[in-house]
Amino acid sequence: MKQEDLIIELPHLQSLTQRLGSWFVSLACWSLWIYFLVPLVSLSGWLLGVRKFSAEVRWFGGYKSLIDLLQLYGLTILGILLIWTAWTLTRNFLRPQAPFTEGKGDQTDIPAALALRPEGVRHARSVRNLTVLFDEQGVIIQTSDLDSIRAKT
Amino acid sequence: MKLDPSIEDWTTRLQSLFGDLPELLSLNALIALPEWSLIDDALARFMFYYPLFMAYVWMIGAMVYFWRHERRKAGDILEPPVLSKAPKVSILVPCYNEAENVRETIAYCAAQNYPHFDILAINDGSRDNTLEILQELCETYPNLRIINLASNQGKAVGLRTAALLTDSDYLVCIDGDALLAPDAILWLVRHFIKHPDVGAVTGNPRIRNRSTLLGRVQVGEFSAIVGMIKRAQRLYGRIFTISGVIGAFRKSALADVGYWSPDMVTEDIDISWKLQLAGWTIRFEPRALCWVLMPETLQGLWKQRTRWAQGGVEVLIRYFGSMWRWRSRGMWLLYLESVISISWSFLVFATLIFLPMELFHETHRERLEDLSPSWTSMLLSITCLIQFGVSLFIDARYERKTGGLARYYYWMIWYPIVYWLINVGTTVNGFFRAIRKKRGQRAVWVTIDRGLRQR
Repeated sequence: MKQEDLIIELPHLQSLTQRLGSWFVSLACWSLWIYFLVPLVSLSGWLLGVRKFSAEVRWFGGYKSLIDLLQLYGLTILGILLIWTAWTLTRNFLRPQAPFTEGKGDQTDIPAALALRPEGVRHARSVRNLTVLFDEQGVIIQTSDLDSIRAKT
Repeated sequence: MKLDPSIEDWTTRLQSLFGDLPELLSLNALIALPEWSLIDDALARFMFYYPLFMAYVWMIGAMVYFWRHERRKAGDILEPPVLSKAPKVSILVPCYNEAENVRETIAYCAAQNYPHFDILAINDGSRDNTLEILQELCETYPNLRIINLASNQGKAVGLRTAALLTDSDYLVCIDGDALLAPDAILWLVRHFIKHPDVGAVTGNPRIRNRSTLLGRVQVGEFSAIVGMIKRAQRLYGRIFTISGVIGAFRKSALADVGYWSPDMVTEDIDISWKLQLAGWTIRFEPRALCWVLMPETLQGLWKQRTRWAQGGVEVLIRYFGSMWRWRSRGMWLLYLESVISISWSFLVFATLIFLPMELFHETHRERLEDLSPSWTSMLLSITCLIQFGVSLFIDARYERKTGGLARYYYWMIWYPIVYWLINVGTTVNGFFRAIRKKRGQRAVWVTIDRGLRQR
């Protein structure tokens, strides 16, 4: 089993509607991204000393407002980073909350849930091909061993 | 028409208190209130900054997780871990009409690089020939067992029945169309061996079908959003949900919480909350890969996401009462974040409905200028680009053998635009479906779109 075979890439199977839809969404989304990134172009141009971008930078609120905004972003990011780091370090010293009982309920609740005797459960667990019947509430009412049925017929 | 006297009485009282009631309740009167501009401004800021803030929370959380748990393991993804012991593991594969996929699924299960395991294929009353195929496969794979449910019972009952009918202490549950990577069990089981408080481990689902725009965007989504959130939540210590397509469970933990609930539309979200509320830990294992099929049509995606959203709301409703216990404190932030996310979706939905009306409203036209490019929109766009870049950097190692992830950067940038809109719609739709659903109503299998395939 080659890992490359895991990927299914068959764009030629797309319908015309899917192709047109993809094309339209691509165009619309790229346009929107470029639209929202216009200030970045203006800022880059202004930083590179292109004079005609000065007016645009002023129109977006000026360099000062960008610095203020970046400070706010920086403080927020720093705050999040500090909280995550502190939390990670603190969690190392915390113990798990619940008592853990290995194997609890594993064997004891099964007969009741299956409506079978323990020996019936043991048998059901050893069967390779088992059919299970349920009532309307999803409770098991019967199991039948297909292998043994087959053996009789 | 004569009003009920009690209603008339209340109307008179309200009018004496607040003036003319119909006028008060009209949209114009509401907008004219002096407090409205403050509320409006706060809501607009919340709508804009909340996803931005959460993007950084998830991104930084995922980076810290990477630095702690994945950084040093760079390059050794192919090297499976060495376990001190190899307890018996059962792979549970619930199947409903899986005739097309089950051969491949079982073949991948059987090829596990693990010494002691069996496969339990659960045929949940399939209407196609899934059972016949499974019986045929039994001849080929000696460790395959079939649990045939005589009538369709839903995934939760199927999993519970199989869990009861196996003597393994550890269960790995995958979907009937999922392909388990060869070392997946090794990576999952090591958490149970090392840490007795771990009740479940969720693996790393990877998208197989990438033929359409939706398929490719989902590849990005599972890296940039799902993978990142899982890492950050793991770092926090609580996970919103185990992946239904690949999750491993300690059977004693399942028995402790009463196994899967048959009446929850997403049994994976429910079991995650049940386990964690009972004090069990859930871990995320990015190296336990499972290759899955996802919808590639809008209709299929809409159905799937509505079901997920409905399942999330059902869980929030069911466990609301449990949240008031001090013991549940670890889940408070997760609960709060889910509620805020749903509120955000409703707010965006309301805005999208009212936006066209505002276009024709003289006083609100200027507000549309907010949508023009600005420093804020620029920083939001850059944040998205950084988020996608970081997530691809973290996740790309798991797809080196399948051609890498870098080329999906081109498609991922559409996620916030296209997907957020779809998710807003499905959240609102799923919310109302959850509210309308009768308590105790059994969840049933749904027909799933699995993308474009060569027939």
